[in-house]
Amino acid sequence: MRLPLWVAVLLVLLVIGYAVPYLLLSDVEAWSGAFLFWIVFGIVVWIILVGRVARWDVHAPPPPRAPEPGGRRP
Amino acid sequence: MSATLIWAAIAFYAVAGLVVVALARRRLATGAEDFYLAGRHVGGLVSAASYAATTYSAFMMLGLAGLTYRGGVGALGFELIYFAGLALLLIFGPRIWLVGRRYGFITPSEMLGARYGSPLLAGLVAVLSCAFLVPYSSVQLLGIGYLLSGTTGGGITVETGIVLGAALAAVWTIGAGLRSVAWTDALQAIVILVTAIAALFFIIDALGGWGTFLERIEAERGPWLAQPGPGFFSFWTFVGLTLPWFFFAISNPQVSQRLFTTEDLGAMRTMIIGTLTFGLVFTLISILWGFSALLVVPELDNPDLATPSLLAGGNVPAVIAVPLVIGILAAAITTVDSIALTLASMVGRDVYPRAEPGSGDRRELLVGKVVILLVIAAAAFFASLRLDLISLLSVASSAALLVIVPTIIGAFFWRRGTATGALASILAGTATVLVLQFTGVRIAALPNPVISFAVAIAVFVGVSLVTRPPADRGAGFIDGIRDDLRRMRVD
Repeated sequence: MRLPLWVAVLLVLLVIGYAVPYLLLSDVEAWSGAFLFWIVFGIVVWIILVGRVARWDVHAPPPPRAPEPGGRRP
Repeated sequence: MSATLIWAAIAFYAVAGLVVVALARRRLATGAEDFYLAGRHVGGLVSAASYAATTYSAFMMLGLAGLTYRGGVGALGFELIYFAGLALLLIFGPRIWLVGRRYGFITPSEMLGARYGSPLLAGLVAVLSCAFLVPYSSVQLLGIGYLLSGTTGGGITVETGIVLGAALAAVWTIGAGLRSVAWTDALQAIVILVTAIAALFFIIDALGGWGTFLERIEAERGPWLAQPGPGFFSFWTFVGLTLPWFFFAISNPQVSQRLFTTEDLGAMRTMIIGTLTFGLVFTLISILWGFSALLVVPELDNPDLATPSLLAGGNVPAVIAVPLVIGILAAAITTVDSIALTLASMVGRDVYPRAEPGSGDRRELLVGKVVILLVIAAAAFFASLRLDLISLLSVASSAALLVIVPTIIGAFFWRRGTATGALASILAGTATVLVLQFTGVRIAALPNPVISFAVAIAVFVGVSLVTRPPADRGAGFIDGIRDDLRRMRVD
């Protein structure tokens, strides 16, 4: 199974999200340090995720429903 | 803030909620699927507001603001790592929705039991969810107690707040099941976001405007803007807090069950976009709110009182402060009622039928309603014991549910996963959580959730490899939905 690109990008972003504030910004006692970094992190995550769901084909026909709850088991 | 004013606002909220519940009851049909999942017909906007309200609980304005007060900007990182974990909704949301629709599952535990061919697994997940989520609910009720007591200067006692929250949660849940829960959620989400934004602007204005606020924090609270800052967020503490929350969207059944309920994939998409947008804005508001408390009420012994103290201080006009108090109260209630409803469905479907085989739909619903009352009563009891620091206790419950995650991921992505592997993984992971929690033993510098999660993964993989997988090797969950996923262009 191939790892989708957006998942790979998100994983890299997560590593950066942990590393940068502790390694590079630990001495920056200003809003332009870890605060700004994480806000940008949050916005980039939002863009990646919203961008991906926007490409879902929501008009594709859905599969049939089970006749009753728990009625059809795999 | 006067207790009479708060009581009047609570009365208004209660009446509005009762009207919503009454309207929801008119739509209520018979059967467990309608009561617990609103017949799988929840539209996008209600799903979005309800999911956001359930996942972004009173923790935001109480616990997260308190965490900012205590540890600074690390609280923002913590919440945004959780936010990034909402990516799991893109991967598991459509899968859970598809198998729920195809096989008629009502609870996440029922789904896992069917996937691995083990009703025992379904029962175990249901029982453990109860054991872990009742303390989490009690934290929400305690939050209500602190909030009402703090904002009225003790005019309303903590105990009264707990009982009030429990009573309203019970009515909202039993009234019309998920319909009443989701509709009251949606109402609350709008109220809390609007009033929180307005309240923040009033507080910043009282501090002399945005420029002064930003300058004063840098000058007076510089360490709070760096990591590990004043000391609370050491690296391993940060990892220990964020790891369980990253997986919250699939580990916590009260939110993963919502993935069964959307009417179609478009509604799920709206739910995800709405939750992401709400989450990002609300996170920023809560963090700035916590920072503003550092300047307005700088000497608090208990950081969880930051928000009540800010609201009681008179800087926010009553016309904003009172609805915000009600919004936070309602946020805590929506989390409790969602948990009670989910636990009731799990016990009613996955535990009770094992004790009483052949019990029908009506009996299942009756048992579920009794469980709702028991869960809320137990949560109120634990809350009255006044356990410490809201945020840390919430995280502890989430850490415990983390041990179910390998089994959930395996259900959709690993054909070789077995029921024995899943049972052993959850039991070993839970035992590790409990031993580490109660003995206080530390292994190297590693936080407890990292260790219990590693144990759960290792046992799931190891035991699965030496036991026999289900005859169909999870075909219905992996190959059976592949074409649907491809057609819907879902990864």
